[in-house]
Amino acid sequence: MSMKLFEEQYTAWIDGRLTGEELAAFEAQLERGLPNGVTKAQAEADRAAVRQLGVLLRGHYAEVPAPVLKNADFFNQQVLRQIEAETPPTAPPAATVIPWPFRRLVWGGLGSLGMAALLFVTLVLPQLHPGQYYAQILQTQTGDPSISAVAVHSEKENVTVLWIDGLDYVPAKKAKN
Amino acid sequence: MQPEDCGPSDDAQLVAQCQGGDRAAFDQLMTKYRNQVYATIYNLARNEEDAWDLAQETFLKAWRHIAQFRGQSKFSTWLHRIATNVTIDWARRKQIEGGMEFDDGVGLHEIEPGAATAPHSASLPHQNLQAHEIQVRIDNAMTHLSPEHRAVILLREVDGLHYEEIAESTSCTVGTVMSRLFYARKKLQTLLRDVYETL
Repeated sequence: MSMKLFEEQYTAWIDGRLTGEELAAFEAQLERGLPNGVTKAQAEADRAAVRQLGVLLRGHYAEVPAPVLKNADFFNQQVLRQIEAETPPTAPPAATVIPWPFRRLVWGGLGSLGMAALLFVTLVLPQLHPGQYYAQILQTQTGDPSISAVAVHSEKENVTVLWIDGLDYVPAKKAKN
Repeated sequence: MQPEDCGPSDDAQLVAQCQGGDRAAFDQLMTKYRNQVYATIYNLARNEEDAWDLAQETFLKAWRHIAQFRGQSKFSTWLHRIATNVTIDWARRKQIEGGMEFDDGVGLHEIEPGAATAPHSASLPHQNLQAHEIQVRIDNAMTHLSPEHRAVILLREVDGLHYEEIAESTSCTVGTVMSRLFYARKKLQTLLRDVYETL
């Protein structure tokens, strides 16, 4: 049995922490006498002394009033101040950055909206001016379904414009005729 | 000593909030455990001002390392371990700076378990020892222990902790705890035998 192991086992024996085979082995050793020549009777007397010492210490610390932290609120305040000093300032929130591919989409979308608004203002609004009305011709008979016709009438000008869209290109030669 | 009551707040919840940087939650934990931490440190340091400073250091360390607390032990145990280690480190530094010596180099060959030990200081007759004198004797004897030995003897004999709990509190093995207890007891027996034998 090494010296260190003896100290550990002896302490465990005093505190009643040896059990089973360990306890049996240690008590057998006590019967024979410990390595340092201590007899079983001496060891048992020592165990009783250690218990007395424990009683003395517990009594002492029980009698002494438990120390209470003075200026407790100031204590917290000091610690929190120190924590604050150690905490790096939080960075301002970074500006929202839109990745380049999405930025193109955003600009594209905005551009389309702008163009639509421009067309609405220049083409549709004038047609909705009071005194004018705009009508889509619902039924036409053509050989090509892609051809559509719109009629715009102006009371002020006393004119009706029939707008036909989707007609084939007319060669300039025929147009001259 | 019981922690200060601060309502039904659950430590685990407060710790989780602290881990998210919530200082108000840490303030609550401090309020709950400050007296307990202070008492632990004071019993080791035996000085109010030092104990105040060391308790602050304990809580600062706890805040700095709160992210590493995984809840494998109770928060109070973890905090107690920090307090004990902070105080032992402080005592060691003080020992080196001030040339203090803890005369606990006691070997087994020097003190036998059953040997009659005589107090170093001149002993008064047992029956004449007054309570105050006993307290002075005990306090004086404790100062002769190294910080590590003082910690284990207080945790074991006064706080009644198990070896495993002491090992966790002092960041050492159970074997080391038992070894330290062995030598701390031998030292105190040498210094206080005349006192406890009269009780």
